[in-house]
Amino acid sequence: MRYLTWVVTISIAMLAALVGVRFATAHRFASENSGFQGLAVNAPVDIVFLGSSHTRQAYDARLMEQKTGKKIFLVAYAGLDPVTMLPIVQHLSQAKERPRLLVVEVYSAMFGRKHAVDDSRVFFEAPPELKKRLLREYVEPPRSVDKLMDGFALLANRNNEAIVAYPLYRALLPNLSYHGAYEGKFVTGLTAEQFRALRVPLQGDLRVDPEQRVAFREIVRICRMVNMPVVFVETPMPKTVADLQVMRGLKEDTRQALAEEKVTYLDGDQNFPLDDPSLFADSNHLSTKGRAVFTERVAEWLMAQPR
Amino acid sequence: MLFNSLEFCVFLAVVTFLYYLLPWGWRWKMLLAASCIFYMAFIPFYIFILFVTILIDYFLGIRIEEAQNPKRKKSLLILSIVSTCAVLFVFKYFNFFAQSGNQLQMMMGLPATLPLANIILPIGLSFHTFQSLSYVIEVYRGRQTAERNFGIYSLYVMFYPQLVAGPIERPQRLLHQFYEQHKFKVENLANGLLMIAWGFFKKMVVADRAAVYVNTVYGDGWRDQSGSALLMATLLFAVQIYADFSGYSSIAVGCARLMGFQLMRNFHHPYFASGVADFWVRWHISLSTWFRDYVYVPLGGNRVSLPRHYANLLITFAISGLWHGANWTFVVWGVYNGVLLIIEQLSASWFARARIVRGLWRALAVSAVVLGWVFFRAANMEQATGILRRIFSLWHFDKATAQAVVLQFAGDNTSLGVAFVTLGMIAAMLAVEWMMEYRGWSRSIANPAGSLRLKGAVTVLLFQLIMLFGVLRSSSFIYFQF
Repeated sequence: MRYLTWVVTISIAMLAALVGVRFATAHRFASENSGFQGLAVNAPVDIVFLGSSHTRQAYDARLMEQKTGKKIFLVAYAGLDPVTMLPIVQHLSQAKERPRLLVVEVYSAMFGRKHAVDDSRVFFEAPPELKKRLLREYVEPPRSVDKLMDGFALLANRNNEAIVAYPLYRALLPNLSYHGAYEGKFVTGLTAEQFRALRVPLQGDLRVDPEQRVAFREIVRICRMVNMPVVFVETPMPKTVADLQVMRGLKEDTRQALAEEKVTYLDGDQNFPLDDPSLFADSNHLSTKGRAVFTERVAEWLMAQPR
Repeated sequence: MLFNSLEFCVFLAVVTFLYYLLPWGWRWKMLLAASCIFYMAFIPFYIFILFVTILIDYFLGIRIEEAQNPKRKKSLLILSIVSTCAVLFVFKYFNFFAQSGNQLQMMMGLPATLPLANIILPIGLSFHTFQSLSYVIEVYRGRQTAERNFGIYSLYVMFYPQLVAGPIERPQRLLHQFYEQHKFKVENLANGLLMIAWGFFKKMVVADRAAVYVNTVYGDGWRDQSGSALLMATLLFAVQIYADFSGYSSIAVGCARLMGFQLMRNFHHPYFASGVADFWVRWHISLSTWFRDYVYVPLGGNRVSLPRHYANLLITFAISGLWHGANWTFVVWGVYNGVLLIIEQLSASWFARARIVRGLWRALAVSAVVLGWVFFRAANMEQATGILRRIFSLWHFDKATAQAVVLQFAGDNTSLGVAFVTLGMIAAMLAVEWMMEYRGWSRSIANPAGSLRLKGAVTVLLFQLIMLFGVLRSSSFIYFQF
């Protein structure tokens, strides 16, 4: 039994040490051109855009800076929903150099779904303080083995490739991003046929998820409490998708939630040529052409907002 | 209850602890109960099917031994084989033959008349069926006495480490071990833990990582993939199936070793084989030897005319293919390997001439076996032939194609790192096996009497790699479906 005790103790102690070091240092292995690490390196930033892949595909950072004259940065992670945004907003609100304006993505389908962390880079790239906040949801009640295992996977296992392949990433990634937005990536638009065939995997009478609604309210409350200006922007959806009953219902419900909080909101569908296939890459992301059109529109809208 | 699940880790710890805690007379009873719980964790009702197989072969084994008349002995053996195989046929092959019959009828312009059954294949059915068959055949041949203790015989078929995917043990090797009084030995603990850790490393760090790429490329969009991506996926599948199955076998052998049981080695570094025949000597050894002893040799083996010998090889490999799965792709895979073996035998004298030719054949033979995995992995013949056509034609040497090949590792900009780590882990696994094959590591790390400190250190290192780089969500082993 001494052998077993020895193997188990050393295994756990070594793993704990490695996880501890990873917890404290992993964010340093992240890209300096995107995500949290990019934001920290580029601080101070005038406008931070916070959202999911829609945000990443919806804004041309260079064009936005040119049109607004402000330094901007996109913090975008796949599937980032209001529940995961909340600790990020808390973190930003306590930062030494807070952004002058926070632009939070509103995507009705994301408001209508159950909370999940789709992109484990959110945790990996987060600085230790934010990691602690993100971990809370895995240890707080209601507890379950699955939740604890997910938390453990985030803490120890996910994205370690970024550490091992750091020299490769460092050499290659800087050319792919500018201030968190795509750089030199051309996303082609849809053909008319593809546009007509667009579908979304959503059905029925979906409503804003209660947990997402609470998180959204909390985001608004925190921003107001620390006096950090915040606006909400919904990126455009192709007409074939926007017209679906399920999307219309969800969007209506999301709008109501936004109206209840009396927040500044831009509906990306308004005054955007939703029936132009060349502006969309798929059922919910913009093409490079659509990105340029939308960036100009949002830049104009932001500049028109009272300071 | 998958080996790579938290439940199994707890189950293993409890069963091993109880095994040494209980008095000797109670141990096999506890193991039998544990094996039942393990099996019932999949589909509880199916334990009755397993029970029927056990019951038939238990009683027929005794009758075969007691029968004085050789004819009666033989008819009892045939009865046992037919009834055991009938269970396998109903659950595994009924729909396959019915579908094939319907297709044949339609080709002849007739309406499809054969009904299909809505059946889920009991887990590990092919494995425990073969283990049961080897028992009755050995009893018939007089090389094994019939087991009188029904519980012990049941445990021989159901012993949980090898119940669902082997190794397919012979009664001479395993049955007597249930009567032995295994004392706790630290060597068994160290060797068992090391084998389990090595198995988990192969499964979770190598196989499951490779599976992500393979599943993406061989998935619904396979027609949109380039030849280079399909070739990469096929190479990765060759690694995946090896790491997955040999990983399972290693865990099974390790779990049994913790309690002092010795299960047979199922893989012997097959990708370092010197040719096709050598590959099949090293791959899934318990099944290859089963087919050799119970199919190939009874057919006449190589002690017949040359054409008959080749026919025996093809028949054995075709049945082996069908054993793997009820699909024509598996039959073609089996026949393909049989043909490779015949080609090797026909040209053996030519290849034996010079070292460089032998080296070239070695590379060619293993490449040909690897290419054969396309039939094993493909969902149907159309996909298999389509993939092979693309592998040999759709090649583009440009940056965009290279990027597309790498992108399949994760589907986003983490792909490069994922590819780097996945290929690195595969290289590490093969390097360790190379050292064991050619540099005597088998005599140090894998030696049962080797240094405990070294074994402990390697176990700790493997544990770190599994936790940091393994795919932690439980995914089934490929051979569970057979």
